[in-house]
Amino acid sequence: MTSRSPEQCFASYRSIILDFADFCEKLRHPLPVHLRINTLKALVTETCLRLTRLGIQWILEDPIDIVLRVRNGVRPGHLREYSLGHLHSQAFSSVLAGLILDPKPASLVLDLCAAPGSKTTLLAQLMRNNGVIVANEKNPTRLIPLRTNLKRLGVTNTISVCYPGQHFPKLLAFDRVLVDVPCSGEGTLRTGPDGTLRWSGQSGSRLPSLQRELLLRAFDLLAPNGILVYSTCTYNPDENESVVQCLLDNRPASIEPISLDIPHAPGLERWQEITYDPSIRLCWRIYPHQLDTVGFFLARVGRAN
Amino acid sequence: MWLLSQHSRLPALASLRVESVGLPLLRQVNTYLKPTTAALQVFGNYATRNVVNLASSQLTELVANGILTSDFAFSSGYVIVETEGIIIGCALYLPGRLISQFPRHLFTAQTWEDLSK
Ligand SMILES: C[S@@+](CC[C@H](N)C(=O)[O-])C[C@H]1O[C@@H](n2cnc3c(N)ncnc32)[C@H](O)[C@@H]1O
Repeated sequence: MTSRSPEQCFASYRSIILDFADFCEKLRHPLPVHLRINTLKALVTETCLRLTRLGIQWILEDPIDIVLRVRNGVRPGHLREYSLGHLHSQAFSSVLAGLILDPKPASLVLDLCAAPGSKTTLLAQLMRNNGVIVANEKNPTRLIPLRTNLKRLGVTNTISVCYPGQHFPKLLAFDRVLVDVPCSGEGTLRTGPDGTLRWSGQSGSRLPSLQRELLLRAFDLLAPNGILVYSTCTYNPDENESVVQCLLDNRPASIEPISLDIPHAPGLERWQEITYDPSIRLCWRIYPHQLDTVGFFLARVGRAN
Repeated sequence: MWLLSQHSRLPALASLRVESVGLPLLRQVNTYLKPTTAALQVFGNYATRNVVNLASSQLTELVANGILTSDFAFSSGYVIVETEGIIIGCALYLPGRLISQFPRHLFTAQTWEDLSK
């Protein structure tokens, strides 16, 4: 565990993050609380009214009409609406991963790294409980919170399985694949009361090689006209652009544009000595000083013709 | 008994080592089938009978004591508990009393502290 200022912690990213001082300043403020309204069980207007009646101030995160930002101090897990599954606590950027995957009601979807199920349950919501989602999680103990969330949020279209994602059986092709890999989690960091970031991050570990294996297998499971989303909650290019570059080098993949109107920075052109494929600029980097939420990386991938 | 959405490619998924499927719908209790609270919260809105509408104070009592002493115009059996248009879950009605069948996780004191608001 290290305790350092944002400037020290992220010094190596000074050259890639525009307005680096603003970025560091934002990390000195707590993460906002975002709640997703689960339209499988609740209506947006009624839920907003109930929160207002409870004295909770909220704003809808434009243009996404299912995500509320609530005033700090609200403990989502203590709300009755939460235990009834009308609400789910989920970062705005995490919701974007599901929206970008854009599953259709009839889709067959694979969520390769699914626990605790925030994105799986969002995908089920977007599919209105139709189609089928296969939610895979390698760690058996993490299947428990996954199942609890599926039940609480009223998801009926999901099968849970437990494979190391990189060895997921190649039995069938999926219309949509989400690869929300384990990562160093840099994007979740905000300073504590002492002004430092407490980080037990795993950068420099074997994460990038696992991430590459997961992304390659995910691509192998994608149907011909399918869409895959690769996401992390880290700024580290070794876990982001470099992993996507490995996919482009080894498979007939293409990076697709993301058509949402949300503040973001483009994927990097280069990092240290590596120059990336120009299409990687179509990926999104979500920085907290541009969008106040968990920092994220998102790549929308299709099969090259 | 579990409920899963229909899909043409479901048979192909049968070869996976499956851990769980869909949403638990009914559980066998002795010789009866009890609907799960999870399923009722999703599908209870479609019910046209055996729905008991409780005032907030009655729901608070049911949650706090696990039982609510009151007469309702039902025959004995499982009923759907609703309050303010929200489906809460399953209860067992026996003449003169309603017995909560809600899962434990719905009961934490903090979760329900604002019930009366
Ligand atoms: C970033 S989290 C996923 C969060 C989840 N998608 C959500 O939105 O709630 C990554 C997950 O991948 C799991 N994991 C780690 N190694 C894995 C592997 N080899 N195959 C599949 N899952 C793995 C971790 O246990 C963790 O639950």
